[in-house]
Amino acid sequence: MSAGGPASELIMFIVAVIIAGSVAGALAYVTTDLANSMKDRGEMLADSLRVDFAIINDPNNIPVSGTGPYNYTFYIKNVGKDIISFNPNSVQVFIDGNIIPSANLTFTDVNGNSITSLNPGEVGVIKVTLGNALSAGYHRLQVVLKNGKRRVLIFKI
Amino acid sequence: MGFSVSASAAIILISFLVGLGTLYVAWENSYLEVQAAKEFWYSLRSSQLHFDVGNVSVSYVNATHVDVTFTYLGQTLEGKIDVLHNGIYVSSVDVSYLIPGASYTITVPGGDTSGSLNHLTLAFNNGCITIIAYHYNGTAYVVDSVSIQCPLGVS
Repeated sequence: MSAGGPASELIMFIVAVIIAGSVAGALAYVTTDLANSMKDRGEMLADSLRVDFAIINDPNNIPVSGTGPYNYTFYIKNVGKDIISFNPNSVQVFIDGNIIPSANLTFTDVNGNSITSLNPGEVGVIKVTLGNALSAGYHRLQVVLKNGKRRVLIFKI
Repeated sequence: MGFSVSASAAIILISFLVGLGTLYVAWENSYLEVQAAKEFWYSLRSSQLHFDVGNVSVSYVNATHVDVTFTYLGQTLEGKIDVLHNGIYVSSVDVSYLIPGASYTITVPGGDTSGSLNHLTLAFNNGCITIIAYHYNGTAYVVDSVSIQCPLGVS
């Protein structure tokens, strides 16, 4: 080494530490990203297992009111562990494969009060308003939640 | 030169170990959360698969109410039962817990002495429903049929 040896050693040390720090920083970034993804996926999977509901209507006796438009009443029971978001923005209803517009859906509790969520064990009411009465025979109701969880009821009019 | 290499290697090694620790903690938390959720899901599905009620009878209480007696034959379940009469929600009853082999009597709206066919739907906390068809024969209520449906069917 020349007389400038200690200075160049110091420069090399600083450069090495900067490079190692950059590598460590990149590693930390990737690790944090992986950890967050793992956490998110775990939460999503756990949510999909904890959320569950049932359509508890008597398939032979679907309440209907009105003489045009017709209001069909369906009862949804939260049988999962988590609160279910229960409003036209988070629940989609299909009858015989046709989606019912959210404007034609009313979400209430069993006393008729408007609600936006269902607690575990609670029963909620979805009133479906249709311009024409459903024909006599078998029909298929499908209710889909925000997380994709769905239930089907085959009922008879 | 040697010190630079050692210091750099130490920094990278330490950050690698810290990263591994972070990943392990994240994995363990997710694993425990999913395991707990899976346990609930299996328990719910198991209670639906083994759900059954027997010895169902309906008896007169007054003009508007009837007593429904049944033996619970499924797995232990929380005892909130929602009741629909002829398709319309009428009440909910809480018997605390439903225990296999135990007999329960609940008083629910559903009285009808006209002789026409009535349907009571009992919705249990696991999503299963029991539909009881009955009529009044002039002296007592007669159960015509009992059917069970759980949310495992068409999906």
